[in-house]
Amino acid sequence: MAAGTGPVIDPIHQFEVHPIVPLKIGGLDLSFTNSSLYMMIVLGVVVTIMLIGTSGRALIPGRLQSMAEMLYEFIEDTCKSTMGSHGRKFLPLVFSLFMFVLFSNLVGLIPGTFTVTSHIIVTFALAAVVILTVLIYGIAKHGTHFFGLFVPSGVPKPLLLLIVPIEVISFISRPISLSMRLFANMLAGHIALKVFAGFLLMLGAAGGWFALAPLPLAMIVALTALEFLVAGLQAFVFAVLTCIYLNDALHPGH
Amino acid sequence: MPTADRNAPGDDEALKKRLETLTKALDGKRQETEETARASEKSSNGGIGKAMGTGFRVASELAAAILVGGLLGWQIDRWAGTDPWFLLLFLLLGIVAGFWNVYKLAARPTGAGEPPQQ
Repeated sequence: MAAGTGPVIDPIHQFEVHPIVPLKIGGLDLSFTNSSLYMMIVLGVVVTIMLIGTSGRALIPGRLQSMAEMLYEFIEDTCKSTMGSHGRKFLPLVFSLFMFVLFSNLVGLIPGTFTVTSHIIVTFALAAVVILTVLIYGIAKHGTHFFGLFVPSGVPKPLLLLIVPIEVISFISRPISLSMRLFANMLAGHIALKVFAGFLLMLGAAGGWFALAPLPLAMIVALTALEFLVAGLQAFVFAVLTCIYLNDALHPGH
Repeated sequence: MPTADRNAPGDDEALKKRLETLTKALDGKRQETEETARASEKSSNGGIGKAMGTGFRVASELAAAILVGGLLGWQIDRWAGTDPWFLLLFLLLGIVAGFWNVYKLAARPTGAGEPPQQ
């Protein structure tokens, strides 16, 4: 980071995607990037925790086993309370999404790592998976009845002219808000951390002012704690909203 | 444990009785711990985490609906060449949809079972 005279502070640098193994097929850039690397790492962490955690099957669970079981039960509970017993078939999808988001966020909090979920294209792809599942399952299961989602019952005919476009816009906005929230939270949190770290560096380099350096340091510590909360929270919100949207596919026409 | 009792007459009866009382005691204990666990979960977890989650949801739902409305209108205008009428119309619809989303969120708390049947 340091170049020339003083430390150069560039809070955006951490989000740069650069190819590790360049690969071009046709006009497509299919390089293996640092983003792909960290997705693999996240996947590895999740698979390791779940495999080792569930391999022991001890009656009195150890740390790893209770962690795996708690995460699973937590998501199962959420699924059941939002979708009822019909929602069980979506449990694998919701659980995979939750684990991937949670561990992307947590791995990203380790200094020097890359946060996969801080890129909107990644979070949008996850949201697109959810919304496509809702659309395909809803139409396959309920046919045209699925579009009753956009027509609330008990509304007078003339008002429908207004209500239907509103409901359609509100439906289209779902994947946008789902992906934007996760991406914006991760991006903002990491930029804030880097900015305060920058203050620390600047104060340290500013002669007598370094006496003030503990202030941004304290802020970084507090922000890091907050980021841990946000990391868990955003993964949870993502899972809950996935459940709520999938519930629309299961029971449309409310 | 009194091993001498093992061969005493009426052993089965006593054992059954003892099992029953133990089961009852255990059930009572279990319920108690579950209740306290639930209560503590409500007071600690239900606080700042839930509130922040709802806050983020409200903000993003409002913003996303307005964004989608604006983009839809803008795109339709580009296709139809009716600058700026569809943009205005859909922006308005988007704002209404955003507030409608927030209203629905506030009227039905997050993740509270099935939506009410109509």
